[in-house]
Amino acid sequence: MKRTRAIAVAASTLALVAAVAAWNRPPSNGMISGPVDAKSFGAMTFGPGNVLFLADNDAEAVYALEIADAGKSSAKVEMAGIDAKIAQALGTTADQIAIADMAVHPMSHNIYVTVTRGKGADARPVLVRVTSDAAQPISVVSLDNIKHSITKIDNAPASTGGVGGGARDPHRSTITDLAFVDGNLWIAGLSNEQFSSAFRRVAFPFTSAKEATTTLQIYHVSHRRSETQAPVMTFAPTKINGTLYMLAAYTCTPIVAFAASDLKNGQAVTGRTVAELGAGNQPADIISYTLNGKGYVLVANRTHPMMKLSSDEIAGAPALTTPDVVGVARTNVSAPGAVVQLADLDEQNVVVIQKGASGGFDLKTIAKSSF
Amino acid sequence: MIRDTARVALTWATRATFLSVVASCTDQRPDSPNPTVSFQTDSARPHFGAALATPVDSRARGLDSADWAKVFTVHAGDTAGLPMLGRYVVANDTLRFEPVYPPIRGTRYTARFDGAALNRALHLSAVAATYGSNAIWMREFPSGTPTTFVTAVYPTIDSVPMNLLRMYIQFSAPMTVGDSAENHVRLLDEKGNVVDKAFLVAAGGQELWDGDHTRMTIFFDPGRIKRDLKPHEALGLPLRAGHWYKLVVDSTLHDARGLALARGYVKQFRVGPIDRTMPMTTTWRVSSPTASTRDPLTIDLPEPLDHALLSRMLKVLDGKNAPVGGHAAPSEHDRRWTFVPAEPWRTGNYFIDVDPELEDLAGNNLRRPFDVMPGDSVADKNQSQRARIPFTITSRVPK
Repeated sequence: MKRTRAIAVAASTLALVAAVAAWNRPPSNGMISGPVDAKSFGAMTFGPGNVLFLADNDAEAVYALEIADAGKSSAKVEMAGIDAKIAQALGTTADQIAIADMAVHPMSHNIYVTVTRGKGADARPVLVRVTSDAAQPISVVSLDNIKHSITKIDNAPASTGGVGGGARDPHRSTITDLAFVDGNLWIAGLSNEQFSSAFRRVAFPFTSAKEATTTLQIYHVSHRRSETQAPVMTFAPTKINGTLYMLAAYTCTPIVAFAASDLKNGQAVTGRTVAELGAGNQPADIISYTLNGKGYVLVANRTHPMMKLSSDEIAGAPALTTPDVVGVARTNVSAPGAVVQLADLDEQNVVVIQKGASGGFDLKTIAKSSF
Repeated sequence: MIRDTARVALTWATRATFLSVVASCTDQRPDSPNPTVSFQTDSARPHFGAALATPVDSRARGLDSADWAKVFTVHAGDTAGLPMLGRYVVANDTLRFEPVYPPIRGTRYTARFDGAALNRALHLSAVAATYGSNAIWMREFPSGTPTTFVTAVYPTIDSVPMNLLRMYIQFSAPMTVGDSAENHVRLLDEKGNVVDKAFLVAAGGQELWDGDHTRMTIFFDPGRIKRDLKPHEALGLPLRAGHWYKLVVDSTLHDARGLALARGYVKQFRVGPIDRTMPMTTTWRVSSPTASTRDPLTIDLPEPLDHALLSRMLKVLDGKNAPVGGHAAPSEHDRRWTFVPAEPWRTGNYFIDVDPELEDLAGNNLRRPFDVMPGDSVADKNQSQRARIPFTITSRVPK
């Protein structure tokens, strides 16, 4: 009897221990529920499942957030005057908000927009969800209790050690773009102190292990073989014939291809400039997609029209060596500077935020076949 | 009392005429008089607003937020646009709307109670009554005397290379980010004409600030500085050797409180030849302080280096490679670096460890020039060796 009770006690103790262990064990992707104290919102991209990666430049961090949208809407998400409507929902006017980035939930196809609401000391980051639900087209994602994990962007320079004084390090990277592919989050940034490439690769789920972050030095050769380093403004992972490339777009406006397998920790890599999209221009967004078995790349530009290029041509293109040669052929597919945000929606469509006729901005779905 | 209800002063009641409708059934009539709509401020958090409607129909107290969102809405501007997001609470006979976000300065808010919508929600369809109330409230612009100013523009030296890469504008207090700084910061030539397309505007107009929002970085357009690029060939460098320029920061920039600057700032500088020479630590003159003192260690540089990078890219190590605590600062227009140790120096060997990414004013670092053309002499870009400058601390020799 005693023995039975002892076994029962032992069993229940074991069960309790197991239960406590299960309770404490983080889920497999390392995300835990709780508040996210965000300081700013910038670039974002969806990753595996419901995970949204979101850059916080002021906090020097990237958050992985679980955005558990239910179901998939069949209706197109379109919204004329999206800037004014988001502003209204946030209790302000369009001149008081700034849209930083847009991403499409891979399952629900809801549109997520990062917004800074207000200015100066009043500025607050807001993650806005735009849906085809007529009753509530705009809602805000609360970060008060959300499943998340965080990776810090280590801007702390290696050489500040030994210099005391308690002053804050003013060095910052502004994350210009994020992409997730094959288990890795790729992060491009623009430093406020150096005009050089700050390209990182972080394994997800995030761990605290330092080796999980790779810092990459990327050079590209332009024109007469002058070699240079510059911040990547926007980039897209693109698989061409089984090889993963990073297609990076720079200021005024070379498109440079890197084989991802060449990008190794601490090593300098030289990429191949395959196209020049024109001077006096900033690339706004770049995506790649396949339509009817053919690969394409779309580049939205601040000054020039949005342009379509062929992935196959990029894969085989020689590096540009002469200033007058523009490289891979491109087709203009928008008015100049019209598209300010671009994202892949589904097999047939992309979604854009573009300048509207009335001076505001419109969210539009556009068929890939129309390009 | 934390809450003070500014009901009357801020309210612009457009009380719709309450129509006494002859209803066949009295319980089909609203049981409350037309509710008064008002805005409330919280003295603990003075800018947090809530909108109130009181009294509300006793039968309506069980309505949910989706119903209330059709009845009682708060709008930025007039009521034509989407309502603000927020939550609804009914306590006693008062309906309270708490916006998710606080009101923005200078924006006019309209709260609207739509009695007809309430009737519909309560299925009081037999009543043709239209009743409702509006209130308008505005969070005032900040008042006060501007106090924020530009404390320095780096480089502080008045002679810069023609291929100057960047400037830093240091403010005395946090600033508004995204204030279209490109409209308030101008480069003027000797004739007072604006030098067009001088600066890089990052995608999305992103401005480059430090974490405190007190220092803004402006890059000269690298496309015009780097050789072999179209803008370089078409427009040339933004700065011309032998000429004077002015960087003008207008007082119209706003600080984080929303106030303009106390005064503008003009940085005048002369442009010298192009600098495509990498900084070399072998040309630096290092002083060796004496043991048992906290005398400063100084490095005199033959040219000014980038202020921000010079402030953080050098460190002092002892003979065991352990960092030596202390305070470092650039001076002499960034041609000198001074380090004061926290503890007195001990006799022995030390090193100054230099990050090879340390740059001069033209973006040339210890590893490579800013741009490299065939035939340029350049160190190996894969070189990750840090430069190390040894120095020895000895006891003072008795005279």
